[in-house]
Amino acid sequence: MILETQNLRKYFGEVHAVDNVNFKVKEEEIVAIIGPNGAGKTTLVNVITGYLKPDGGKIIFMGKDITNASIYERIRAGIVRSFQLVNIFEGLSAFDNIRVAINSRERKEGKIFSLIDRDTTVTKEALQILDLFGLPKDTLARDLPHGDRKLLDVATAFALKPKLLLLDEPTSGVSTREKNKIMDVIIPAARKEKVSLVVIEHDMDIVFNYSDRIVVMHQGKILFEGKPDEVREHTEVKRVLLVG
Amino acid sequence: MISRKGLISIIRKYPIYTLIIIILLTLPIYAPSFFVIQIAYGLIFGITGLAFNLLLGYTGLLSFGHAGFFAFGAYMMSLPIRHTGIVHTLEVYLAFAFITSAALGALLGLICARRTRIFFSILNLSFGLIIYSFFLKFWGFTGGADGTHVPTPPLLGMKFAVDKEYWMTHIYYYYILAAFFICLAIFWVIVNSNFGKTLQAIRDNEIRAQFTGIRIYRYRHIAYIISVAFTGLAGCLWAPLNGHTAPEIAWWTYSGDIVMLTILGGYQYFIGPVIGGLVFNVFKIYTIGYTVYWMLLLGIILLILIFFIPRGLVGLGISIYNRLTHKKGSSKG
Ligand SMILES: Nc1ncnc2c1ncn2[C@@H]1O[C@H](COP(=O)(O)OP(=O)(O)O)[C@@H](O)[C@H]1O
Ligand SMILES: [Mg+2]
Repeated sequence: MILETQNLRKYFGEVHAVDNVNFKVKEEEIVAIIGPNGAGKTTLVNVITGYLKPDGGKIIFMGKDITNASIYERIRAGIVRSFQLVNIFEGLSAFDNIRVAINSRERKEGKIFSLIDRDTTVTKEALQILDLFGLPKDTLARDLPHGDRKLLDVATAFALKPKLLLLDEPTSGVSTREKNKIMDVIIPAARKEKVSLVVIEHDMDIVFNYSDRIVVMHQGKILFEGKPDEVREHTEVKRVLLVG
Repeated sequence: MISRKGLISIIRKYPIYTLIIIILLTLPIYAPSFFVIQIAYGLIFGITGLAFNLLLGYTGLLSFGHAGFFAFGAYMMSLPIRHTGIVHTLEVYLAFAFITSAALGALLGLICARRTRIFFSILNLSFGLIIYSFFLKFWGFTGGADGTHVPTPPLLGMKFAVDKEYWMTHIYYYYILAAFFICLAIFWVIVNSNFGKTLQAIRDNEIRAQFTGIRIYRYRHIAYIISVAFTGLAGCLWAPLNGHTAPEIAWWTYSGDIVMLTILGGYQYFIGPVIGGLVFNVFKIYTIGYTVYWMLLLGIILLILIFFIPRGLVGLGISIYNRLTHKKGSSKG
């Protein structure tokens, strides 16, 4: 088990966004979290990644209790995320978005007297990542089309070489064809780099095609979890997702 | 060294900058003394603008207190002379001003590096006012409102047997020009370094920067220290040119001038605050000479800038240049 939450809780007043959740991810596993809007999926990711403090419970990552670790410590431990709404460095080129991430991973983001263009290893790796994700080099992030912006968001997270990568709706707002394109980049890359992947996703076809295991959330609780086939057959899940 | 061919290609690529450099190098030969001195001031404001813009343009932090740091640097020269009566070579004071300003930045950064937007701006405004009051009220130590005289110091250990005007226009002018080019090179390296890109990432999206493993407060703090240190250095260069330090240079309207010259030149461009520094100072001096309404004029120009040329003079220049040469898109300044 790479990640395990124990009775994790996060309440917003009356809203029990995450309600005693025991969520597990195995090494190199690809887990999809599904559930209707407001089910608590994003909040669960927010608490796991340190964006929000939990109200109760524990988070165990690679055998260590990280419930109270800072965002920085979690990233250094290998927990990386993307955001539901595109969250990139808008004024930088796609290339620089990636280079900043690689620099941070290599802990040379603070070097004042080394010109970023002179670093051939980082430049080479960044170009490879851009190539993998099919992104243009010099276009400013803010000028990219929406699909590419989503991809850049994921690519930046990828450049950090995480052990556990949590993607919050990496394909939201793009066409079905583009959704498949995005997943066809992410999934093989995750398998190749042996990353454990958690994907929040709305599109059922995508979820059934690409994940090893599916976790269904509803009103802050895990309603059901299992293999794609098991979830497909589960009547209660169908009802919740249809009503959702 | 750059080869002759390389030099020619640089000149071809940047004809306007080449022209500006040639003018700056030859200015004392043909320009009236008064104008040369104004350009010397402008170069110092250019250094100040570069330091200020590391925060505004590259880190996304608008300070309204930089005149305070400029004044602090200037007093780091005048106060030691006032109290010891000994005049060392200028480099001693430059080093002293740079180090003490860096220390000041480190201290104040503890308070303001965790703040952004209006909170950062207002905190710096108050730092500036505190520095101003300190120089004004501790008159026994600082000379109060009368300020403190700054004698002409030796440069690189050399004294020059020339009159003050010749010293300013032919000797100190070149000293400032050299200091300016050194600072320009240093800032160019900083903004094009790993650190510089990290600052821009923080500027664009601090949440994402945090989730990329960047310690945003630490790097804001470092940027702040660099900015304050070089602003102090500029203030110290200014002191012997002005011959006098007084508290009023720490007053907030001068902080406003620094903001204005940076926006005038174009804060999105590396070279923007330099062009802004030169133009702003010349503009200010000549309009003050011709009209008492120079503030009104400045206000109008600022309005025009914000509404019609938000990318400043450099942005305007680039778009005109591109139109003339039929180039599409914008190139970097
Ligand atoms: N920062 C917040 N403050 C208050 N309520 C929140 C906050 N974030 C989420 N919520 C509420 O928590 C519940 C779960 O939201 P969220 O985790 O975003 O759901 P999902 O991602 O599954 O759509 C919703 O009812 C939402 O309104
Ligand atoms: Mg969500």
